[in-house]
Amino acid sequence: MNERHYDVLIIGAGAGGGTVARELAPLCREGKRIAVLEWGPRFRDSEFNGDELRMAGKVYFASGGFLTESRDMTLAFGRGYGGSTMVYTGTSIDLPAHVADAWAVPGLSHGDIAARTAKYKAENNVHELDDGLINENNGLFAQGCRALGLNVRKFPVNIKGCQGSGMCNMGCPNQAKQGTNRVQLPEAEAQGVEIVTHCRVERIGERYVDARIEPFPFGLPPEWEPGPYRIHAKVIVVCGGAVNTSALLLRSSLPGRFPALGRYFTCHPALTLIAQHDQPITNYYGFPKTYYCDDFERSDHFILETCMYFPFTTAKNIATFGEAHSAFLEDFRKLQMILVLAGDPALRENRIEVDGDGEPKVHYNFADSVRAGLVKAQKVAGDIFFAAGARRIHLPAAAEPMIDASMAGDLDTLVGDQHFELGRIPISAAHMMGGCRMGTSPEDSVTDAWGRVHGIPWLFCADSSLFPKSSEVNPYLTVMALADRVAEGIRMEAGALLA
Amino acid sequence: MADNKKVFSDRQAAFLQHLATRMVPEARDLNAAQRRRLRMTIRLMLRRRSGMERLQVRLFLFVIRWLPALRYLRPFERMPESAQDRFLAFLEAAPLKVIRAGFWGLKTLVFMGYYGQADIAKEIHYTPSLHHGNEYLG
Repeated sequence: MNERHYDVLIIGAGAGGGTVARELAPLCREGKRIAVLEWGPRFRDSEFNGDELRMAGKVYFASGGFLTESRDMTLAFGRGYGGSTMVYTGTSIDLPAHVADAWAVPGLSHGDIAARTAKYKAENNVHELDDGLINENNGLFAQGCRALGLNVRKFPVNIKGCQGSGMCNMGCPNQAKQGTNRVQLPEAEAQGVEIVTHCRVERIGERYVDARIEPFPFGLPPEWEPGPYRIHAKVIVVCGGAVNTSALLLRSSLPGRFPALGRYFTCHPALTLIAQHDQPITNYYGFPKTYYCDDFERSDHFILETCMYFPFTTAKNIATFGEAHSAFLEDFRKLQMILVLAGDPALRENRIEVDGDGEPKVHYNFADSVRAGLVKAQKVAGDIFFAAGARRIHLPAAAEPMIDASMAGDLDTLVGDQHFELGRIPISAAHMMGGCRMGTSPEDSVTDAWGRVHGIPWLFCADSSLFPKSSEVNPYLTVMALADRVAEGIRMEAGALLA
Repeated sequence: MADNKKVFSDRQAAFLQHLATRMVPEARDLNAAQRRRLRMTIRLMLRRRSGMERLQVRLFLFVIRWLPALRYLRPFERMPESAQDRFLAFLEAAPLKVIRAGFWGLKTLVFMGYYGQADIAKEIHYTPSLHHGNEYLG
């Protein structure tokens, strides 16, 4: 067993880990040793080649198709230098005040989160896309919303030098998204933080972790020799994302009792809805995600976003097969897409567990409010598609998923909960949250309002696992804000923690 | 990738190829190399999955192939095409969620093997530009 010693270990190099690394990096000037342990590799820029299947296998856990135990939803979360910030779209939305209020974490105010969020929006070049760079897939969404009297907003996005490859979710081939792989991690490294890739952390012990360097056959080679390592540290910050952070803590022998660990998992279950137009439109050229509509967020717990996916991903999101399926995909240029994200309640029974091998298992039941939201969202999206001139649309929770424009007036009767058959409807999620939620009591939370695990002064979480409930909006900025706060807490106590 | 995990027998692979033509009619027109890629893609994906999941897929293929024999006295692929499609549609909307989810999983594998091919993407007019996408905007 190889041994290493550090002052601070950060597990995971995504939105949370990258932020903590950069925020603690100044400690390196005082002689402190900090390392980030990242499961995935560091990719060469040239490796982001847009090959849908190969890239999915490289940048996502389970190729982006991690199945929940009930086999009715897939989860997508990234792995590699930058974590999921490598494969997100870069949409940068503030946590709504009412959500922060509903979180009700004593000592954590919306103002605190908003101030930290503003810092990262400035750092990451968050701005709205110029109108000249908006493609027709996005423009038609805005047109349809406006025709129906819905408010449509432009996403703030964190891109710089976007060339419109449309490959955001496979890793940008032009390095345009300002994820932690482009901003915070390089800054942290420049200040002396070590990044150790291809490093899977197996368990956490008393101020150490057991890890293993297992090189992937892609990406840059690992910084350390392959093999097992015991890495000692005075402070350990876990930033592996909701699923992997919870799983790591669950398979570790932590002192204390944590009945809420892994629980209150939320994920914004999503449907990809697709329309077919008579003529080709610009859809896969240009930045894919420009507009959203949150008119229904408070009342029905869903938001609608533009999106544009790749051939296989699109094919699997169509809930049929055979001639009808093929006819829909015969000309990809005619497709328009809308993504529905449901705001799901934090239910205790929705949880992450580990199996006998320590691998994560996610148990998720769809709350009635989520089903109702996803059903209503399909009707609204259908109206938007038809208002934008679509010839035919695909709504999975309809009596017949393919609906022609001639039936546009019948959506209320065609789409209903009775057709919302789990297992048949392709549901996916990419916003994993909770599992190590913040709070005051170990009975219903895992960490305090500064991300410190209850009763363990040297162990922190700093990622979306901290969310007490769902964020109801795209979460990465909130992850960075909370990670910033966790890092501040560590800095404030550095004298005692790192003595 | 060196891997000796058993995924399919040749007979199962041939049956999967047949199923692919019911799920994607154009799969009938694949050339030999494309058919090989379809099978390889599915094999590769299943190799990354657990032994239990591979077993479930094989079991599901067995059920699809032989369950209709109770009524038609012949395996799935020798039933009339319309009956094959009706049976698959039944599975897709089956009363039991486990059957629906299994069918969705199988369908996903087939779509991956078919639509994951670069030349198929071109056939459906998906021709992205890695570095000049914005130049195609109006």
